[in-house]
Amino acid sequence: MNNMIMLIRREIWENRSLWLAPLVVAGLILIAAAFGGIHVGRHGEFWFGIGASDGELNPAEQSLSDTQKTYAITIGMFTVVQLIVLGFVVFFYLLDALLAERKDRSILFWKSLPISDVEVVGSKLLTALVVAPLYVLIVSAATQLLFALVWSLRANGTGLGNMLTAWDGGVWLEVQAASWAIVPTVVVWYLPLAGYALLVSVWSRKNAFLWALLPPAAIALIEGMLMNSNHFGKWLLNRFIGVFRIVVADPHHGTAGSEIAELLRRIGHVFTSPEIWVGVLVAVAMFFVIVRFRRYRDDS
Amino acid sequence: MTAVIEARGLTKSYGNTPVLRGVDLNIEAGRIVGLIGPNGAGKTTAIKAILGLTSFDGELKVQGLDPRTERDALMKEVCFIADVAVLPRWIKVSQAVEFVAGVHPRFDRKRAEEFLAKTDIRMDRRVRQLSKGMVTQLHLALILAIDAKLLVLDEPTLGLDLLFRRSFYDNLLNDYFNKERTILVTTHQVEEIENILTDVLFIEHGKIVLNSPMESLGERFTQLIPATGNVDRARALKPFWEREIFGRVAMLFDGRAQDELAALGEIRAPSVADLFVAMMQPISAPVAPSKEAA
Repeated sequence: MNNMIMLIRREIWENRSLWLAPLVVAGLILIAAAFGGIHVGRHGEFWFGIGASDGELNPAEQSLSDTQKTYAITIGMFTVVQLIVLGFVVFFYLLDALLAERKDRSILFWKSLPISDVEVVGSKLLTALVVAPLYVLIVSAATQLLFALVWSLRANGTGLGNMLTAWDGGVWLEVQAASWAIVPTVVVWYLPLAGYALLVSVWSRKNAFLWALLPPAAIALIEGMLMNSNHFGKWLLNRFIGVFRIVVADPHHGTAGSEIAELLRRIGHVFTSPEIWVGVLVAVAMFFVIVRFRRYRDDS
Repeated sequence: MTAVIEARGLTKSYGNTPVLRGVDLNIEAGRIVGLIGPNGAGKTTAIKAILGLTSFDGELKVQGLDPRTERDALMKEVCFIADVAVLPRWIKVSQAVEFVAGVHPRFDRKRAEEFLAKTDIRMDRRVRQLSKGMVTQLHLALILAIDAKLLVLDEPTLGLDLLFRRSFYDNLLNDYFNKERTILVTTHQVEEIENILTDVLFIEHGKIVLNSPMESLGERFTQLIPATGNVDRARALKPFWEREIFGRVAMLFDGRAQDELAALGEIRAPSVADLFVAMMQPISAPVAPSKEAA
């Protein structure tokens, strides 16, 4: 346990982008919210950008619940942006995690200490899949609160003033509840992708990113040439975005996942699909292969 | 005395190239053993096997543990410095100390900090900001503060200048070594460590060709510089190696009585470096006296 905490701290020392990137995104969001023009769309949705504010939200046209929903979607989008950025950071972190230590030969230092390969590989996955997402959820909750502050200061006394009614703790809590339910689901969904990145990392000698792209690209190309079809590409795409189709948007069944109960029902669907559990099994198998590889990887 | 390292028939090949061909070893506690061999002789592979860093065939026990299956337990007893350049370049000195303190149950943090205080290394520096000599000092500070039974050093002073090399070995002897501890060291600079060794192991083509305590080297091997006119008589006693220096011939004998040789000329105990050079050159090949030497 102590070893694991130390190993995770080590990961955070080395990989500053893991904790800096979400802060930078939060800073950009808040700067945009504080200084950007407020742009209002036809349906009352609003966003921030360069230039003067271009419209006025007419509260008369919107019911309170619509306004709240608009607000909820806006702050929810902050979390989404932070998570997408984190997704990229984590993917590259995992691609590098077991390659960098061989490139600079520091693996011989780590291996001179009483830490097992299971602990090391586990610490990288825990950092990527538990610590970093938790951290982003917390940063993003704080971002939303700071945004509420900025928003109330800016909107007060303007035509947008009534949007203030949108801000109450309830909306924030609902968005938070949704985020904390969605993120773990997404993490479990992406386990095999994380395992794949780490597998490439422990296997390759350099250019981990290219090695990661090569097998899927080659399979898709060969399939296209031999069978003139694209099943693999479609399957892969589904593997990437499938979880969002289930969790967030389901246009054929009325309301999107704004209601918590509805959201939990959809998450239940994800967890009862065989797809996610096959993914988990594949990830567990990859874990043991990675540990085995690191155990006797002696090219340093 | 219990054996710290016990190996029987250690073998290992990379593809079709054998690197270790049946290495037998017995290293007891409280020794400082030099593992000496030319490049590609299997030194590093042998050490990797001992440290559980590579797979191999044969029997091997280190501190009574099998490095293949009990590596995690073994690493509590064993420390190693594989090369000077292996500390991660991004880590801060303070973080390195913190990390080892966090994961090693036998690490004495105060001791490492005291050692570092005697150097010019600042705790807030990153390894990449340190000179090569300082990186070695830092690594040594970390390792010396670990109460390990066996310390393995693989070319620990490679690329360091003489001053750092000297103080490295001084620190090792003064601050680390005692009767319960064992040090296994490989190096190219044989001359620099031969006076600290208690035992030497020569390895060549994946085999141990000499395994001897230092004190018995002098009894077994003798260097003779025969007086002029005695060269042929000396040769008749079958030296296993000879060379010509400044017009005089130096010969090495294995297991000849010193009195017998002393009658023929000047004798002295060969250095480990002399023995190394002699034993690594094929005995069967006639020794051509070097023309450039004179």
